[in-house]
Amino acid sequence: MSSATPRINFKYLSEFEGKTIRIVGKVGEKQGNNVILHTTDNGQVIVDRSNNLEKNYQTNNVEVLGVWNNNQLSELTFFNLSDNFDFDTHNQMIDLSMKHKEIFM
Amino acid sequence: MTNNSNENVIVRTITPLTIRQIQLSTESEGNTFKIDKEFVMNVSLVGTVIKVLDGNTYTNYTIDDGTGQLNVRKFKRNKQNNMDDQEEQEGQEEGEKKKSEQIENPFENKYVRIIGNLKEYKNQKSFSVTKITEITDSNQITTHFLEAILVHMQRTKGILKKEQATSQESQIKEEKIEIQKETNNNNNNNNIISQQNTTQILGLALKDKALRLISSNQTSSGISLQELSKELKSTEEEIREIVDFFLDQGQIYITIDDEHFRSTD
Repeated sequence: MSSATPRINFKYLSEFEGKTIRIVGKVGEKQGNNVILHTTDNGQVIVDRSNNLEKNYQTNNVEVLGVWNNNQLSELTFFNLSDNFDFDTHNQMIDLSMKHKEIFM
Repeated sequence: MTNNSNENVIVRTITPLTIRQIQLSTESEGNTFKIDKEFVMNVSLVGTVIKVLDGNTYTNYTIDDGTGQLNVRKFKRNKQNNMDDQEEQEGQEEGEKKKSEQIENPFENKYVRIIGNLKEYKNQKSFSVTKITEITDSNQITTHFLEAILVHMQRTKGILKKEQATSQESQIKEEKIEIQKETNNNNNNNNIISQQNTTQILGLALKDKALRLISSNQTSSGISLQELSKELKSTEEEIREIVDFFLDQGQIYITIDDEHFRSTD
């Protein structure tokens, strides 16, 4: 099996229950150990940061890599993204990559 | 592109790939790999550095681009000066201690763009890094994967369709312009003809009316040019033309002066 951690957005989450995925979003409200992530397709994801609390998001846009389970993303790590990140194009890229899964997963 | 058994293939392009594509590629000729049925030598990747192992002759980076993981090697220039391109710029300003720190963790957990050479080495894939740079504009992540998709589609489904469509489109456009030109010409001709027709018809109607008016006038001095002009709502010049015509025909004659007319009937 490949060690892929696919880049997805909100609408594809249901296909990846229990899997490790990457999701890009705008950092939203903090709720204890959780953070709301606003995805590129206007979805909202609850990110559980318990395993990675010592590192803080340093930018407004981040890519979170974690395990999607029970409507929560358990963060393993994240990557800071530049402020000029184009959400729309990224969203379209995700849709395209889903049509060409053969080179992505 | 034909090839013998060894490295006679030279590919001058840089192919944007995903690590998955590299993992899945099995086809090779000589030492050169084929992906999507095309030879690839220079490859670009975008991913995060998850591990750095610093050795004597090379640094090993483990890259994860979301499609898979790959070990890539950046060979060091010489044993004494153990620095990468990017580090050289930064290292010059800092002390020895910091330099060694940078060598250990220059790109760890960061998104990088890697350009390198994909080769077969002892029946295994080997990727030697030509250049590794940190990505500062994250949109490059998106564009890299879009480029990989594009090249993949071009190489598997063909580049021609879009180009064909474009050339067909422009052909159709040219034809349309031609047709329009012809139509315009036709229209213009038709317009001229119809205008002429209308004028002729209107002219005939006016002449009829003029003749009737002249005929109906029983006075000895006849009807004047001004009266005709007024009755027929035309200019005197137009009436003049009409009466000249009838005068030539002999259907009317002038009476007290050349502005008064009577019908010969």
